[in-house]
Formats: sequence, structure tokens, C-alpha cells
Amino acid sequence: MNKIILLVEDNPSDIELTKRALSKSRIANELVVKEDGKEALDYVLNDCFTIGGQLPALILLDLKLPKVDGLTVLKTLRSDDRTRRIPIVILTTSSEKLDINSSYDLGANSYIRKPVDFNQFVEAVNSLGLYWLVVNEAPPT
Amino acid sequence: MYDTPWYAVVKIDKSEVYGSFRERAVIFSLAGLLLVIVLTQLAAGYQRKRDREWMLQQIELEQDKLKLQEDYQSIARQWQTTFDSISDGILLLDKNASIIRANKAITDTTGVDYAQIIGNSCWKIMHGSNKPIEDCPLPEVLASKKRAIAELLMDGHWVFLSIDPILDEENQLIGTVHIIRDITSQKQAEKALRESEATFRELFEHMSNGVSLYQALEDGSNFIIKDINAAGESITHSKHDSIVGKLVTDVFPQVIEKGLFAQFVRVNRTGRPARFETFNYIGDELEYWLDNYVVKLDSGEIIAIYDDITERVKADTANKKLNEELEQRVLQRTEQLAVANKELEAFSYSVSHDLRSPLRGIAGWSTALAEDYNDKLDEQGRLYLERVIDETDRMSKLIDGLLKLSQISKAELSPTPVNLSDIATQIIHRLREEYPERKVDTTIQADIVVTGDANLLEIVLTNLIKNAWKFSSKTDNAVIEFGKTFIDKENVIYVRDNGAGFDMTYAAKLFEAFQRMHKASDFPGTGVGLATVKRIISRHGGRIWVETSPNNGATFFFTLGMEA
Repeated sequence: MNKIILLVEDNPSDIELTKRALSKSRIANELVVKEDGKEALDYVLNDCFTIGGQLPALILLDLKLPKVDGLTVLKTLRSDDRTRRIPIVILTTSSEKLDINSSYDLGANSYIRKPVDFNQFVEAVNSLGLYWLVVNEAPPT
Repeated sequence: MYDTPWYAVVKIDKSEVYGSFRERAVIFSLAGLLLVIVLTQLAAGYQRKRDREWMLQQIELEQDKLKLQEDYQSIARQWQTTFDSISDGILLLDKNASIIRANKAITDTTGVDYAQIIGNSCWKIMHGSNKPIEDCPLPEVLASKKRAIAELLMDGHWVFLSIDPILDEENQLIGTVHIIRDITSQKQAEKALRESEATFRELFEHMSNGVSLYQALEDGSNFIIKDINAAGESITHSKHDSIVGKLVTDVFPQVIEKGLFAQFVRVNRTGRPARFETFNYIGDELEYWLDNYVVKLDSGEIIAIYDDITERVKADTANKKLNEELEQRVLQRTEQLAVANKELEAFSYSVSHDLRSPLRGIAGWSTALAEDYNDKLDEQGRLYLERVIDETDRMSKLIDGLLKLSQISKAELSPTPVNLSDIATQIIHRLREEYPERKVDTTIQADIVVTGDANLLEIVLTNLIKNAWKFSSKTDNAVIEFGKTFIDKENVIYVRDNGAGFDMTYAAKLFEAFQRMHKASDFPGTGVGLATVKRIISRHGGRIWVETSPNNGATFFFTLGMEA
């Protein structure tokens, strides 16, 4: 079964670049993109249980999002028993200590600061996918 | 008859008598003669007795006279001694003003022999003149036969002179008594007292302190104003002449309400001085504020000394108000500053997200273009794309530097002992790994330990040593030195290189953000490194400065206020 990757990101350029980085890393998983925090929560907490019935295997979450910000999304997902074990990787431009600390405190599995250099970004996404989709043994659902 | 001897004699026998007439006549004659002798003897004895008594009387009289003489002499001596022992000069004059007596004080003070004094006129002896001097009251006494007195200045001495007339039974003037007392020292004392009084009166009147003098009533129930000086008049808005002699409570009824009266009563009762302040406000406006000192004098009078400190109190109040306003303003500014800081934080956050995002887009799509359309681009096109990517990289570093700078400003300092020598060694080690082709001599003084924030101090050393590394990259035999020295009683840490250096003329803004001393083509950089360093040093309470000249290397010195 094809594992779904959920990308929560509002910048179209970043969405495209992330897609490109994923494909360059030969990660062919289905990619669902939600462009604000509210849509992302609706998708995971409602749609996944009603329509498709499949939770994402990995969530790539930006922090700065319209409507509901990334940290709130993280907090909400971590406080729901159904979703609290989904690996969530914060993928953001912020290098603020506060953001990093809050993310880990709220249960993020990893925090990656998007490098400006695309090649570095590809490397990061590559190792990310390798770890969370291949190496990591997902918790039983 | 039988008692007398004569009886026996006549008792002779009659015959015998008639016997011989002659015999009888002889016998009669003898007997008569005997009788005469006897009677004569008796009379002589009486006379002798009377003579002896008269003699005795005469002797007694003589003795009395002698005793009287002695008494007289004794009394005379007593009076003479008394006369002479009186320190006032005494002259007795007859009615013609000739001196008939003078005591020792006269001879002593005039220096004239007693013998010469007697018989001379008073004015001749006393004043050396030929007639009574102008102020002499003698003519007056002679005319009025009444006592007269005068104060005269004689040979630089002030004398008090009294002249009393001596009158006989018919009230005729027979002489005068002059008593002369030297009152020079008394006069001098009076003069000194007057002068002293004048001095103190002047002092009293010219004092800037208000002074009032009071006399307590017998029962201490109230106080009569005895005096007030000019300053007192001005402070109390009163006039000396209209308040002196009156009761303090009548003139200044407010003394009771203001507690001043109670203090007067207490000071009068206990004798202990009191210091206190009295004041009055009319609405919010201060009318007066007095600093009072109340003392009981030895004379029993009460003295009040008071200063008008209204202006001072007003100034103090204004000062206090100003200070409060200033504090308020500081609070406001601090608040504004806090807001500004918050804004700066928001700005940094925004910079880190919003500025980096498009940059990443540019870099990402340039890379995509270079990869996917590599065959469609010529050498020149590929070079341009490379430039675009390089520039985004530089921009990214600038943003990172700025962020770091802003983070340092708000980071909490956690001071601990920090071994700067160890940190410097690690930095050099990393640089050698990163640039294995560089040959750099490094000297690191061991065990330089300071107190400070370890993370921030590492940023300082990283920046300074990396700069030294960078700017000595075009120098043969590059040398980098890290050590500690002592300048003006202060520990100073330095990082020295023998690299490019720069002209100090342009160094003024060296430690400000984005200030660069070299062309990017010579030595690339963002221009935020030293700004960051300076901010860290400042936050530690230290200073940083540089000594350099072109091609002679540069030495960066810094101190740390927190240094142990």
C-alpha cells in the first residue's frame, strides 16, 4: 500500500520545490498538499477517517501557515489519540530557538530548517524520506 | 568733865595755889604755853592732810588728761588710717577752697607731697590750673551749699567726683569734702558692653534667620514678645513696633494651631531646646514652611530662631515631582523599548521566514533551470545561473548574520568561568581542517579564563579568529596570535594577525553592521561579524578596539566587564 505523505505548506514555490526534491530523491509516495492549518486538520481528523480511511505515513509541516499555524496543528494532532503517533517533521525556514524548542516540546519527531541551497534541500528531503518511510518501523495502527 | 585730862590738872590743892603765886604763875604760863603748842600742832596736822588731798587730785587730773590725749591720738590714728585706706581720693577744703586735708589716694594719684598739697588750691593740685575747671561743680556747691556730682575726664582717666558742703551750726559753709573715684575701667567696661551690644544688635538685625525674643508670663501660660529682628518681621509679615509688648497668642493666633505655642510652653518648662518645622498650605499652594529652633536663655527668656525654607521645600517638591515624572517617562520609554524589541523580534522572525522563502525559490528554480535545461544553455548562460545561485547564497548568509545579531541582543547572559584558550584552540583546529592548504603559525596563550557567557564568547572568538584567518590568507608566513595583556590596570585580551590590515581612517564604523573594509573580490564577507562581536562585548560590559594599518596586520583588543 502506497504510504501517503502530507505536505502542509502555503508557499507554491516551496510546494513545487519540495515535490521536485522528493522526486529527485526517488520518493514516489502519494503527496497530499494542504495550504493552511485548518485544511490540514480537516484532512487528517475528518477526511482520512471518512473518505479515504488512510492516515498519512508522514506529515511535513511548515510553521507559518494561514488560519491555523503549524504549532497549533502539531499540538492538535498530538492531543488526539488517533493521530498522536503519526511522524511529523517540521520543515520550515525559521531558525528561532523558540520555534525549535516548542516544536520538540509539542512532540515533533524532527525539525528541519529548509536550506536556501536546493541541493542541500534535496539531500535533507532524501535522508528524511529514507528514514521515516523506509527505515523507521511505523507504529501499529 | 571727868573725860578730859584738863580736869586732873586743875584738881590741885587750894593751899598749894595760894601757897606760891609765882609758882602758880609759872605753872599757869607753862600750862598756857603747852596749850598753845598743842593747838598749833593740831592745826598743822589738818593743814598737812588737806595739802596731800589736793596733791592727789592734781595727779588724778593729770592722769585723766594724759588718757584723753592718748585716746585722742588713737582715734586720730584710726581715722587717719581709715582715711588713707579708702581707695577713692578724698580732699577736705576750707571755705576758700584751700586743701586742709588729703588722703593717701590723693598723694598716690597726683604724686605730689602731702606737705605741698596742704594749703594749695584744689584745682592747682588736681588740674594744674589757676581756677576751677569748666566742669567742676565746686562753685555750684559754694553757692548752693548742697551736694553736687560730676564725671570728669582727668589725664585720660574718667573720675566720678562728689562734693559735699561742711556747714557749721549757723549753717555757714566752712569747707567742702571732695571724693574722687576712678571709674575708667567701669567706663571702659560700659563702652565695651555698649560696643558688644551694638555688634550683637547689628548681627541680630542683619541675620537672615528670623529671631524673636519672648518673656514668659509668671505662670508660664503665655509669652510676651520682647523683640524681633528684621528677618523675623519679614518672615512673619509683622512690624516690630506694633507687636513688641504684646502676647504672642494675640499677635499670632496661629501659633496654637501650628503647635508652636505648645513647644514654647515645653521649652519654657523643661529648659530643653526644641527643633521642629511648621508649615501651611493654602489649597495645594505652599504658603510657608519654617524651620524653627526654640531655646530658653539663661535669663529665662525664650528665643525662637526660624528660617524660611519655603522656597527650598517648593524646589524639593518640584524636584521630587520632576523625578517622579522622569521615572514615569523612563517607565514609558522602557515600555516603548519593550514594544520596539517585540517589533524587532517580529521583524527577525519575519526576516527568517519571509525573506528566506523567496530566496530559496530563486535558488531552487535556478538550480532546476541549470539541471533541466543544461543542454539548452551555453557556457555564458550557465555562468549567469551560477552567479544567481551564488548571490542567493550570499543573501542567505547576510540574513543569517542579521538574525544572529538580533538574537544576541535579546539572549539572556549566563555567566560562568570560560576558558578562552581552549575555545581558541578548537576554532583554530576546525579552521585547519577546513583549509588544510593554509600554512598558518598560531600562538595561543594558555589558560586565559574569564567570566562570561560561554556560547556568546565562542561567537566572539570565532569571528575574530576567522577574520584573522581570512585577512592573512594572502600573506606569506601568516601568523595568528591569541593572548592576554595588561593595559591601564585592565586585563585586555587580543587577537593579532599579520595580514592585510586596513586604514584606520575608515575604521570609525568598523563595528557597525554591514561596514566592510575590503572589496568583496579581495575578501568576501557580510559585514555583520564585528557588529555581532561588539554587541556581545558590550553586553558583557566590556569594550573592543583595533590597532591596524594597511599591510601590517590588525590587532583586536577587548575587555570584559564581567571578568573576575
